[in-house]
Amino acid sequence: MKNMITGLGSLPIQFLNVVGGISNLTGQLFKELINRPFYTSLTIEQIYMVGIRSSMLVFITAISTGAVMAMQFGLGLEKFGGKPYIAAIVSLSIVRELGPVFASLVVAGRVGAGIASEIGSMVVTQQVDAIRALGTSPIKKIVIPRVVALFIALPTLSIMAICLGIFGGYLTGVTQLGIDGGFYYAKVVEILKVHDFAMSVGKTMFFSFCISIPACYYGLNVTNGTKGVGIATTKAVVTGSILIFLSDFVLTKLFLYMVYRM
Amino acid sequence: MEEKVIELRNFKKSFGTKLVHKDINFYVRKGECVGLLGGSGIGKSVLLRSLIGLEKPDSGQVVIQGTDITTYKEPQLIAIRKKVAYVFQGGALFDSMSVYDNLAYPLREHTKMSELEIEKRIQETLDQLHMPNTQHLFPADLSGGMQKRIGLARAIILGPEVILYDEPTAGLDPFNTKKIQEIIIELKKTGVTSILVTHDIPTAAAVCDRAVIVADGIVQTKVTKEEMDQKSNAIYQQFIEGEIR
Repeated sequence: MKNMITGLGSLPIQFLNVVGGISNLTGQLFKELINRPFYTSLTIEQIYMVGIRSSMLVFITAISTGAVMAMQFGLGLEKFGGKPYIAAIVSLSIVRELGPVFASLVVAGRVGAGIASEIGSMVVTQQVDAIRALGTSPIKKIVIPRVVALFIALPTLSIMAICLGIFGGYLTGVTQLGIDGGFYYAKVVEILKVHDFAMSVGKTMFFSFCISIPACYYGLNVTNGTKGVGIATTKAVVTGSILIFLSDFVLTKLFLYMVYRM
Repeated sequence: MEEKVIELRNFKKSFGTKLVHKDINFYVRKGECVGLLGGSGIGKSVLLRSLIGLEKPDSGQVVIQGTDITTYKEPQLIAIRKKVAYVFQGGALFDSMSVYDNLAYPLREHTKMSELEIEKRIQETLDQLHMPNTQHLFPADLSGGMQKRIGLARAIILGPEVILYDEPTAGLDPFNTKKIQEIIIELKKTGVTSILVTHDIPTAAAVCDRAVIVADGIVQTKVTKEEMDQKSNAIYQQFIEGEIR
């Protein structure tokens, strides 16, 4: 009981430690990002690992989300004669919100955990120390390739997820709700604007940092051996997900203000 | 007087509330091999790690070739780490890379050698360590002894001036222990300065010119080669008989 109370008491300090640590890592990352050497091949390898290998999961999530959304709205709006609005509602929701957020959450789960556990294992087996002892920087060799790879891969995945999500909605609309395919397509094209996609891409660029930097931070700060790796992995996913939700609100507000002044 | 290549002055280090080193002072001259002896958990590896800036002391100085590196930042430490190689206890090989890529790593990072030259250098180093035909293997395919030898090979491939060995023979069978001893002696003959952290008294006696015994956060005694051979130093004698920790 006493330990629990002491543990709760130290939470604010732990929180400040994490915030400080992540800020420090972010500072080092941007400082080293502009200096040579650049490890392009490592970054390309990471794009494959975090982007291409996550694509199937992201795409399945996107297509089913679009399909289910169209079905739910279809049933709900049919009573009020609102079926013609389904295409607009589904596509706008997916482009502005669900596409980027769901893709990012799926990637946070898969890639955030992968980054933290991989780096954590390297710490436990002294491979990170070896990188330093061999006169190289773990920030350059480990952190930057992962952060840059996710910065490139996540918006790309998100755009593809958006397209598939809209396609999922289209399939349900046409096959289950009896909406004309041409009408559905015309409504999607009519309602979506370039700034909707810009908002989506902008969000995912920011979300990529929310996933990769905390994951690298927790991985690099693993203590207590393999048990610590498990804890770091969980913390990376939880922190990444929370940051995505929190920043989503702020970014949405910001983009809406920039576009509509609201 | 011969040049001091490594020196620790009033080195103090604690972890949380635990004071590990109160006041450590010792030096290593050029070309010497000094054994750093002491019980488990007394912080021998911490001292070794501090010599290349992997740990920072709370106070005191770490002097490498006449320069205090205590306040050095990571970019400045890179120059030191090219000259001072560290052989990790478990090898610390990159498990996603083959033996060849592990050995090529420092060469690709710090030299302008062509891939052909790198291949030749790797071959020579592996021959020197009596480990031919292992380039294509991955660390998971190697035994503990082989991993240590490859770790050693990676550390020496750039031709460092100083080598820091962290328990190079721990957990090895007599055959691999002898191999490692022979390699350390061979490297010593080339003029390399070294520090050997170990519990393995026969290895320390076989390869070291002097030894330093650390206990209770301070240097308890400095043992000469003669004292090691004749076991005439009282504290050294107590240490090897397990009477002090």
